[in-house]
Amino acid sequence: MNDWHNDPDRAGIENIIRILKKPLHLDETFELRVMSAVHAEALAKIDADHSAEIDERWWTKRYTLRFTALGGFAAAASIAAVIALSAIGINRSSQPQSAVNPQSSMAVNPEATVVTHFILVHNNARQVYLVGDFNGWSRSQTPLKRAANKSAWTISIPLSEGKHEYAFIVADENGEHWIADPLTQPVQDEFGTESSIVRVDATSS
Amino acid sequence: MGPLADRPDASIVAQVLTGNTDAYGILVNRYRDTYTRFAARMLGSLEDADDALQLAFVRAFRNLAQCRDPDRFGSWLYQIVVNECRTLGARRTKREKRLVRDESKVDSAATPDTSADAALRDEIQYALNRLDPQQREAFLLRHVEGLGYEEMSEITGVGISALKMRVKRATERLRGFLEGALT
Repeated sequence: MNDWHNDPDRAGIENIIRILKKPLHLDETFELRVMSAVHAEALAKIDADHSAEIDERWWTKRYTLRFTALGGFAAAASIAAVIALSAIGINRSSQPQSAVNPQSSMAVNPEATVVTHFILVHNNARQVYLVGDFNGWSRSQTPLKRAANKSAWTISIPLSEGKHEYAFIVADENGEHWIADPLTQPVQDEFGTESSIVRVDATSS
Repeated sequence: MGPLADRPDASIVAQVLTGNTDAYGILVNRYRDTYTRFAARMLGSLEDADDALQLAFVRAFRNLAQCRDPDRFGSWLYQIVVNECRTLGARRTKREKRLVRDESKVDSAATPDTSADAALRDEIQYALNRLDPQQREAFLLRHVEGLGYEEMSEITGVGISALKMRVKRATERLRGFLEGALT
């Protein structure tokens, strides 16, 4: 049953929906184009296996976290900080961005990548995810790990140089909540949703 | 077991993950049209829908191993499609700050305008384009794609009560925009 079954004006809105439900089709080359890009991705994955050694390097690299004082925020529900840690060169030239869309958010091919550490302190979270332009705002792609103190959630990921927009999705007993980084000045996107900005600069690390 | 094309999503996902890249084409074919309608209505053009779906399918392939419930691949893919539409929609808004009526011609690009509904269809797409993107997204998922609120919440990451409010407001605003056209 729809949301306006008792609505005297339902005929009008049902007419809108009837028209919007008409199927639409992309051109016949769509599947071919997608599969070309997919095959290029599959080849790139093989190349990526060879770069595992590089990936391991940034996880094991020694670094020092620079936290802002947390004491003043003890009563706050959550506290977060994002800290750029170290710059390393990761050659990602094997990624086939041009096969997809060179102007897309995926078309990043940096010479240098900065390992960026994200931390969110949230007392009631059951799971925290990092979403941003760097992972296509994918909820499932970048889950944070709970730290030993049980309230801090962290993750370190390599980010390309430049400005990145991000936010956290916190899952707690009341469901999932989108939150901007509490320690940044939030920005509002075209959807009215608040998110945060991190500027990554390899030369200053 | 029957042809691969007839098998459920989980079986095809397993094939892809074991190296049968071509099998992914079955999933592309299976979900392309359904998500085309959503993306085109959301973004206001088939060209942008094409971009969004290409990005979504490739991103889904890249992250296929992270699909925790392959039986529900379609729902997982929907999340990615919605995210791509958000990203492209935001980029388009930055590129073109003004709305132009030509953008509403989603259907005419796909099929000749022979239907008596053609003029109304353009009016409706124009009205959709005027909605807040969050409201447009919720309205389309609920009433055009026929999803339940729980699934919408899973796909969008938005709470059910907020989604209901967005659908309600979208409906009210569409009625207002189309008051003359629907009588």
